[in-house]
Amino acid sequence: MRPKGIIGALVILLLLAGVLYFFADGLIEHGIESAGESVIGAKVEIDNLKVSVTDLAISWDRLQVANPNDTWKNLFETSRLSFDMEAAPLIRKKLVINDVTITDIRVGSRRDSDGKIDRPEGAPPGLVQQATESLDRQLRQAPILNVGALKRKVNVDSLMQTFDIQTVNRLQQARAQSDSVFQKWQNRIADFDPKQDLQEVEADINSLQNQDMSNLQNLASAVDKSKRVLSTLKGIKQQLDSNRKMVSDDITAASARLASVNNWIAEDFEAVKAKANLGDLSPQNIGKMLFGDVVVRPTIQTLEYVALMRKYMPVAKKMLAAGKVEKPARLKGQDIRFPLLNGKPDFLMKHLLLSGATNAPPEGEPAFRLEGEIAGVTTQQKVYGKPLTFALNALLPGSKAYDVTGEIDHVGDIPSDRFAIKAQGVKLRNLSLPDRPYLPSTVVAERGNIGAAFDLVGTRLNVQVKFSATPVRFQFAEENRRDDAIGRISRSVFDSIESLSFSAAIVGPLDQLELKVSSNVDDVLARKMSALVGESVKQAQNEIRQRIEGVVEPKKQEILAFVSGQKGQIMARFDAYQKQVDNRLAVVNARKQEIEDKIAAKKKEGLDKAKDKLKDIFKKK
Amino acid sequence: MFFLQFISKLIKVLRSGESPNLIAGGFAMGFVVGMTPFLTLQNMLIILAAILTKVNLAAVFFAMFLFSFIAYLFDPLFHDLGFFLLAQIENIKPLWTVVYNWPIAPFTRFYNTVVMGSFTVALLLTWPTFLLAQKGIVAYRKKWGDKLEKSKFAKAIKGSAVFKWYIKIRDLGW
Repeated sequence: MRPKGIIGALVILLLLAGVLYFFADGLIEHGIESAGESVIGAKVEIDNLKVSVTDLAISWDRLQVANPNDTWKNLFETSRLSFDMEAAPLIRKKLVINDVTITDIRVGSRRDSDGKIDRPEGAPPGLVQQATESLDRQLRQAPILNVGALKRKVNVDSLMQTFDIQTVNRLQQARAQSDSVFQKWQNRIADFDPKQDLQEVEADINSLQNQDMSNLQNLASAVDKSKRVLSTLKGIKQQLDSNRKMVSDDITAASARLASVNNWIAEDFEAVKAKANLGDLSPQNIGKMLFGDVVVRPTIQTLEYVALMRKYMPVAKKMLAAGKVEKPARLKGQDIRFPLLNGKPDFLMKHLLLSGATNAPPEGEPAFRLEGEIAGVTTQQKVYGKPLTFALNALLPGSKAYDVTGEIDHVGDIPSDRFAIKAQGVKLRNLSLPDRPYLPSTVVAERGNIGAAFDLVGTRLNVQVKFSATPVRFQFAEENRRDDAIGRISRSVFDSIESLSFSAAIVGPLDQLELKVSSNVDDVLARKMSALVGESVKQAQNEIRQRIEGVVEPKKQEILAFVSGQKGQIMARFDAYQKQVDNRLAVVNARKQEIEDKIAAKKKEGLDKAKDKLKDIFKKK
Repeated sequence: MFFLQFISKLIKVLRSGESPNLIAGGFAMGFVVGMTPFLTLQNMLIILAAILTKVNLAAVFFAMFLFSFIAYLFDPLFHDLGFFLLAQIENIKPLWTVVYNWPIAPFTRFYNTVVMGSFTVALLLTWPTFLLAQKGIVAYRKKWGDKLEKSKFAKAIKGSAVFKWYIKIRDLGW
């Protein structure tokens, strides 16, 4: 043993312990802040974080998380907080916290400094983008009330002259694609032409038919030749079958493109209607016009949060995926994960009890209190084996509670995110409506019932909203008031309404969502608006549809005829080859059978002779 | 400068009366540490063992320095070998799973392809390296030491400005 070595080792250990003692708090604080900021997209600040190694506890004096949508306010803020960690998981760099109680969480408090962080602008997550696009399409179908546009006589001629019918362009593209497909097949048929092979086969068949079949040797050579010919013919037949299948697939694909023509026409129709501001004044569309935005905006916001949760709480399939990294950074290698028996996730907060209040409510509105519990906050639900669940109560003074519950289940391979809000007879805040001419901008409601459910399983969304309130008053913003016929109708309708109830649904895959909204206002407003402007709008719409179909239909028929003609030509060529091959196959098979019969006869004849000779030998003896 | 001092120390060691086994042992320990990524539990234990025992420390650090360059060159091969051992042999996976669940597993980083590949190669070559080093030291002392001292290469080095500068600095008593 080397005494100096022991002293050296002790010095190194002491130095390491010293470094950890003095810098660990700062390092952990910085780590939590950075991780939080990358998730939230705004500043996360912790004041005076302390880690007690002896008690295995973390504490801080203050945590504030800036609101990424309003960086001068906090999403939430806590004052002094401390909680215990489990010891064993720390060795694996895992943070497991059993219970945390936050009693004074403050929501929406003002910040002393801007909580904005520099973050590269990325494209919105795929699922948010898909939903936004498909819901925008739905909202665009809602009419925009404009007395000039609705009451004027629509000049369909001039409208159509300036509109480029996209279906025609798409048909031209489809025609060009079909052209190239058929050209390719014409070339392939020219290359494929089995004429020479068939001539050789023909010559072989002739020689087979003329071959001397008097002895077994000639017969055997005839069998070999017939096998060769059969193999050649089968090869040609195989090529024919495979080409026939490929051409059939190509033609099916070309026809499938043309099957979308009716959808293209419908899109053109919607585009012309939008250009002429000829929105459909049906009750469904009136519902979308009035309350569509009210449902769509929170849905998109919720989807943004769900996208974040799916990113930071990935499903098992993504988490455990471990293909080989072909060229990892030098000396870094690749970590291979193995199943952890009774393993713990990298981060787990088993149970969180919270209560608090909004600190700075909007003008003239009371603060609300928030309390409830959250269970299973983790980055790896597959490892933990349980979903995140929460149940919260939000209370306005003098009101019953809003119940907010949810389950974020990313334990399996298909993520499932569900939230629900229920409130009966609660005090309501004013409901803001989108800023549109002739329409109210605010619904002032005293008390009402709210029920909303948000289910996103995989990429299939189901949002159901129900709202009712009595009494209600509709307020019009000054800039949206008009004193024309539509304005008068709109105000008389909304002034006569004392209670409001509407239901809405957003259902379907995220890229093809269907929005349905209906309310007790729709029917009344739709009937009165249609009586005023509906007939002329309907006539104009019919004329536009006829015009579009008049332009598109001949072109569609022309392409269909072209496809059908080309298909007929190509298939006829294949059929002709097929017939030749089948004929020759029949001849060769017949000849082969004939030769085999002769061989059998010859064999029998030889055997009989041999038997007779044997009998003669025995008789002589 | 550090490297020259290092080489000079090593040559002194080779020419000194120190046991070839202690020098070769140090060299083999340095070989394992040099060949594998540095921050692992096994490397810390090897270095601790080197400090606590009487193996030659100059040989340890020289081997670490030398073989870390060689390890860099062979890194892609270590990654391939490590991936093969960890992910492609189904029969060993239960063993890795058990080891992975040991509390000390994270400190060994055995589940990293480069650590696994390089450590396996290093372990297989430790004994041959020890034997080669041991024989090399004996042979150096018997045959090559004097020849090398008198060689044109050594004379050129000793006559070089850098070496003279190094000797001056060394003699300043740093």
